[in-house]
Amino acid sequence: MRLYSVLVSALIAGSLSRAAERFESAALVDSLDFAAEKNKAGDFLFDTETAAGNRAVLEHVLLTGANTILWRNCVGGTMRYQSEETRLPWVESPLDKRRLPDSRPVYGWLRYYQSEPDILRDMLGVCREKGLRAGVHWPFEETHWHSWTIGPWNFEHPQFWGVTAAGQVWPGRCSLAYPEVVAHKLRLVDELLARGTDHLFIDVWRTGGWSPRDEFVQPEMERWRQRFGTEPPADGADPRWCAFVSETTHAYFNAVRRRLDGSGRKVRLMVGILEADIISDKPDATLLTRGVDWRRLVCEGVIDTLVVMGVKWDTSRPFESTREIYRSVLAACGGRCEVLFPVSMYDFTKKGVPGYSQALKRAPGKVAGELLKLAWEEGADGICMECVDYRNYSQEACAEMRAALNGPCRFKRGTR
Amino acid sequence: MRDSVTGMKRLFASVCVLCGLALGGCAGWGVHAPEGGWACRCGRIVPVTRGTGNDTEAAWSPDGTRIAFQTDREGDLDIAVADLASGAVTPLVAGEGQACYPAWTPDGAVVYAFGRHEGTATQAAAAKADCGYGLRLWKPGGGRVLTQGYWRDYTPSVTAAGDAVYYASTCGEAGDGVALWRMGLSPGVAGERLLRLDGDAGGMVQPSLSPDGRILLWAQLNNFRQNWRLCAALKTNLSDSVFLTPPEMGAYAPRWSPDGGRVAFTGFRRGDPGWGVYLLEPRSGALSRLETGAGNSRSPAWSPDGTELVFENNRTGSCKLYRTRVSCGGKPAARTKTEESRVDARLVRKEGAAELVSGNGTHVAGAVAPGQEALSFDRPGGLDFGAGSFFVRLTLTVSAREGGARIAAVGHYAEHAMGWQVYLSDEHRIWFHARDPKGVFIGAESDAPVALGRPVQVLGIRDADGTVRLYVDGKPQKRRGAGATLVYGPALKLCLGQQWNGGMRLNGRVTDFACGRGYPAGVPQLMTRERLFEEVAP
Repeated sequence: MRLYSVLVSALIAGSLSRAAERFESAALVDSLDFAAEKNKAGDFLFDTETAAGNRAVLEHVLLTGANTILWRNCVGGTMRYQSEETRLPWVESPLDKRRLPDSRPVYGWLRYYQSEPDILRDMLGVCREKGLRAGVHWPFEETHWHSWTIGPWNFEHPQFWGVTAAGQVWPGRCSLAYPEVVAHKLRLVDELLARGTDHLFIDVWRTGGWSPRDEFVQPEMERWRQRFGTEPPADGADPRWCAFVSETTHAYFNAVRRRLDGSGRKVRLMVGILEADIISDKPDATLLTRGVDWRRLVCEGVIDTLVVMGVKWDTSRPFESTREIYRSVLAACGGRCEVLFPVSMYDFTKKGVPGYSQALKRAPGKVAGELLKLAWEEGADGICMECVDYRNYSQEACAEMRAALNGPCRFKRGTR
Repeated sequence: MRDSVTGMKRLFASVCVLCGLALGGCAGWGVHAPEGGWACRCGRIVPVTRGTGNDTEAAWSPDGTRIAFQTDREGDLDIAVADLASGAVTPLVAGEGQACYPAWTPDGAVVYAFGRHEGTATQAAAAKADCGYGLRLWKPGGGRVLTQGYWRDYTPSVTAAGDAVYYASTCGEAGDGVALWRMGLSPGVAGERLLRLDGDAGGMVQPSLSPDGRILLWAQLNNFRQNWRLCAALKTNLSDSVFLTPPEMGAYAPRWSPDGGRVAFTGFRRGDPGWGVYLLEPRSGALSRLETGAGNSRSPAWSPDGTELVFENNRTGSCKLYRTRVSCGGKPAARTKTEESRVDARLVRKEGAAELVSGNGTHVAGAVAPGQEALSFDRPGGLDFGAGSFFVRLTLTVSAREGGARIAAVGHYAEHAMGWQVYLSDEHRIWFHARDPKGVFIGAESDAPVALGRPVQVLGIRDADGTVRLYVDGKPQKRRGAGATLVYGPALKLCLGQQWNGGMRLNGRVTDFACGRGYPAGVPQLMTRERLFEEVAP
């Protein structure tokens, strides 16, 4: 009788916890996106170097219905908090004369790395106080297309810079093939943990232009020669080379996983991929252009959540093809990790909400709500909103998404 | 066993440390062999500053008794001076704000950059604050503000005559651009922009004039994925500059030796342990890395007699200044002769037929496409341009606009089926392009769409340094390419008016065609190292 009661209680508890699973709406938030916003009178709306300014940014982002906030921690290798690992001096141009300064008003003069209070610590705390899931959006980049984004640690260690097959070094981009670089990145992970992140989202869409083409560094070359007894392929886009490089990035993600687990608390590791398509045996874009084998990461349980940043849908069948790709990705994941699909107003690939809107001839706000529902219907664990800024998620889009998130999509499908 | 392994490791580490210290005394040339028989060595490394904080950007006083530098001992950057006889360090510019990049004037004053940021960037922008980095002059008994605004002026250097300061500035730049500026040091004189790069992603920093006052030297970054490189030009023609260091090497912070015969700078080449002090013999391009021991060594500056360098090094965990004697020996490699121009192949039309006549007298008959003006020549001679500069000159007449790209001339090589081309783009602009060693397209575009119904003279040039230039009707076009250093072997085919496979036909006719190594007569050559230094040779 006692055993029976325990079993029943466990079943009820299980079903209750299952029923309590909220459908996730994760927002990627970048202070910089709000830094120069003005009202009609010409006054700045957000002073993002202040606590009040970033709280105002958060309030704006929450209009989307987001229940997870992933705050951007860096631009390139320059951290946007008081990092010891990438500390002054010389994190700023012109004090470091190798960094060409950004001259734009406001943007070019921000110094998030010394703002008081520490932006990341403060905002993660604010998010938790509001009952939100609080985490960090960490691009897999070390340069963000400008020399002023190169981190001081990277500048200090040219011996670890990436190299092309032709022998051209990439100033400022360090290779994960060097243990010292991995150790540096893990110290950055420690800084994020110390600031209270509960969710670490590593976004491999944003690599700042890096790809396996830049990994012809000595340790990788030697590893190839030892394994195959030949010189590495001259073409950095060769699938064999990309798969080979992915072993190094895989080891890095494993190291991050262990570091998170070693923190003594449950910290979710999320990884973002690009151009999701029908899953086949062929190497996908994430493997070929980012040297990251996401399927292996999922299969081995290295990551908790797969975030699909972009979908290669068919313009003649936007939603139908999207559905097919979602099903394919979910099947490939096989329930081994959570999966978030995009509702992205950011349209760099022309496959975001504006792209659907154009193909379907429907208002973007409507499309945003429909995409959210589509992800929910297909059994996703949530959605991800890339680069939520002051303008891109319109009032209509926010209303549509909030209505869905507070209504039919409040909980994950099948969990009520 | 574990203990003995640990013990061995410790012993090995100790030996390594001792070796490191011994090398720290300075010796050979490290991982890169000396070039052209020219090599430089340094003597004993002597600390100039000690203690906490980072001491950087040293500049030796004209009388040789003091070294000015920037230091963060008190938090933000101040300017201090080390007396070399006593070792005493005294502040020159202290207090709130960043005072940095000291540069001596001949009479013992110091020009430096100063920035003080109060409040946030938003507050500064809202207040339209004048809070960038400006230049200031310190001198005993007083100083003055030279420049100030919502921009950044930095890395000043003072001319040998003491009449002007050269510096880097973002004034007037919208993106990441940094331009070269000059300002007279007489009161009331405004700065003038001397040179800026096209686009907003490149910049030029730390300009300085050669001791004879004829050549300006600076560090240049063309975009964030390329290396900083040293660049120089005649003061009288700064737009015609030449790189002094190779693209695969990171090179910045150049300083002329007092006799102008050497340039010290911060450099890194693949295989180096980190940043190091390099010496450049500018006339030959010979490089020599000084072995200054552990840590990154940077920002060298010469003593006034040219026998010593002071530089910063972070071997102790923070940057401190060190000095060392420097001697160079051996002869730099002989300079290569400036390329001469010659026509290696030209089109000859006769009574409906066409042939390509090469410089050695061989004739290749052209195949005329049926009903078209297009021509092709199999295995033409004279198009094996190698690694040097070459030109392609043609006259074309375009009858009407057509969609899609249209080919005027294309060289088909084993290295690339479209090794170089002259073509019309969708927008009907003329392009000339060559390739980099990986086959990447690198081109120059005409400023305007091609004129219709009349002959247009087109000249494309690939310079030896990989620059790609285009002239239309004798006028240089603004948009250039860089990095097209593919080595061209014998051509497999030359096509005029169509693609190598017969497609993309031109709606018009190519009437004249010639190509060759070097430069055609009348076209200004790009500056070369040889010409730059020949012109200033006594």
